[in-house]
Amino acid sequence: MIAIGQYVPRTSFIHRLDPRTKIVLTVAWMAMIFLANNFWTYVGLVVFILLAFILSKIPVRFIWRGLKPVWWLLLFTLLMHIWLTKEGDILWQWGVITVHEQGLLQGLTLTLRIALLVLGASLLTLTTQPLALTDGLEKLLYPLHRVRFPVHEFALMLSIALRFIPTLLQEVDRLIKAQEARGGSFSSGSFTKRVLNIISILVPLFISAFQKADDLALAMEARAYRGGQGRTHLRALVFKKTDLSALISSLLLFVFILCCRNW
Amino acid sequence: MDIHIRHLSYTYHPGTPFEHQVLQNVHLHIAYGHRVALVGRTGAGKSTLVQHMNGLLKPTQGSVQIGDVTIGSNRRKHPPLYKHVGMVFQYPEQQLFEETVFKDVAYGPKNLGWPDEMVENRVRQALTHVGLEPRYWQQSPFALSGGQKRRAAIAGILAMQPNILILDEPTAGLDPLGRQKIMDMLSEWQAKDKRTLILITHQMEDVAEYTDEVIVLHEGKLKCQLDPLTLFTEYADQLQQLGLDIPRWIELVSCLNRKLNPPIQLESCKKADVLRQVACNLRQQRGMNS
Repeated sequence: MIAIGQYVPRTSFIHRLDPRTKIVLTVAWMAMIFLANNFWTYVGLVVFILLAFILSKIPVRFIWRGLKPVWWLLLFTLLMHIWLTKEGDILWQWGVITVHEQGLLQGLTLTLRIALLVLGASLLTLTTQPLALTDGLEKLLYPLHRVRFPVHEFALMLSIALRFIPTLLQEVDRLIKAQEARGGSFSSGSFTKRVLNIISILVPLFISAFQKADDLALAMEARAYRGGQGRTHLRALVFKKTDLSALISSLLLFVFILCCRNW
Repeated sequence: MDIHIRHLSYTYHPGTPFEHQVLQNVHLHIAYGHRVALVGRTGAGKSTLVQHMNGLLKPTQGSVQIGDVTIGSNRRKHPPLYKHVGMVFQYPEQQLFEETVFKDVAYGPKNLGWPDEMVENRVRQALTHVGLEPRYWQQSPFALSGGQKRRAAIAGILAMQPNILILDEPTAGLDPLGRQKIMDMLSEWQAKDKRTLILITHQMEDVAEYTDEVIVLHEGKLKCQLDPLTLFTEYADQLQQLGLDIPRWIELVSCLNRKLNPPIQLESCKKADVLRQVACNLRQQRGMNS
């Protein structure tokens, strides 16, 4: 759902926020979505996310692209609710198909909820570099080291995985081209032939992935990597005034939702 | 089967923040049967240009014509070019995947839909041509040494018998002897049937020795298309300004020429020919002095 590596470089208020703030806000955002249960709370949420997107200076095109993978899920949710919920007044009838008031309403709110969830999450990944994200996560999870949770290793694994996604994608692209140049076809031909052709990509891809992992481990050891103890960061995370204002504005939204929702 | 490239421009990731124009209005013609070197610094657009020549990339603007197939910037499908244009990528050994060397080399010919007997013949020919002995044929390609893997991968393309063979730095990362062997082998393959050979390379020695036409790319633009002798003698300064070398033996001649009167007029840029001319000239000089 959250497309990785879709970071769009811009200089904006949202981009400059500390990744920790953004992660906390995203989690809080999800909680708020589940607390919202009437018209005004949803209005508050929609206005808030719209403002956030305007502040982030992200072109609408990218926001649209972020929603694309869940487009079908949204449509499906809406249709299922309209079709299956048989409560409230009948709004419209045509043969066996009836649309009930409650069905339409529930379908719309649920669809809105999912959309808000995805939009919030994609705002995080659109405005934060993956490495900053893992840095932030490491800092936020740090207290867990008291219960022997390997926080540093976890964050390192995550950042290495993120770091290698573009590399491996490039590799796949190169391999597809190389095998296509030998007449291997991945977009036409019979299904079985296409599946067999994928082997010609997977085998070299795995070999090179293992090779890269080996090389990386060697390079890290050669530079005396000994795990997380006493390690400092190249880019230290600093909590700034802007972070405070972002947290406060989100707190205000939280209070607003608590006041307006139907208890 | 000539190659016509007409006002070709190519942009990666158009319409995103990562938009990047790699080729700008490249216009050139490569006649059938030529041996062509494509040179330029890293990022000059060499690999992007050759990927247009076998239809892996579609022009953003302009068109590419190979024989009677034209690929334009429209979305229309074109007949596959792999039957006529063979392409060996950088570090081609990384694309080996079959259980045995023989099967891997047979992958391309099989995709061409040739009958089994013909496939086997062509694979045998190709493997012999690249100098892999039969005892390696049934081994796993991953058990071979680096140089042998490279040769097996090149054999995989040669076995398809393309009319136009494109190689992207075929000798990168090999030792001098391995380099020479591969270049000799390719040159021999080209000479046998007079097919087109297009070579991306940073080795100016190889350009001088094995090609008869050089295309210079710089920052996505075509700088010139010349024979190597003219390029290395008359345009040496411009070439060095673009960050490219000239072969050592031609540098030797240009150093000598500063002292010699009359200077040596090179007739060929191949190493052996150049050295012969230098030796001849020095002998004459000594004759005149004594």
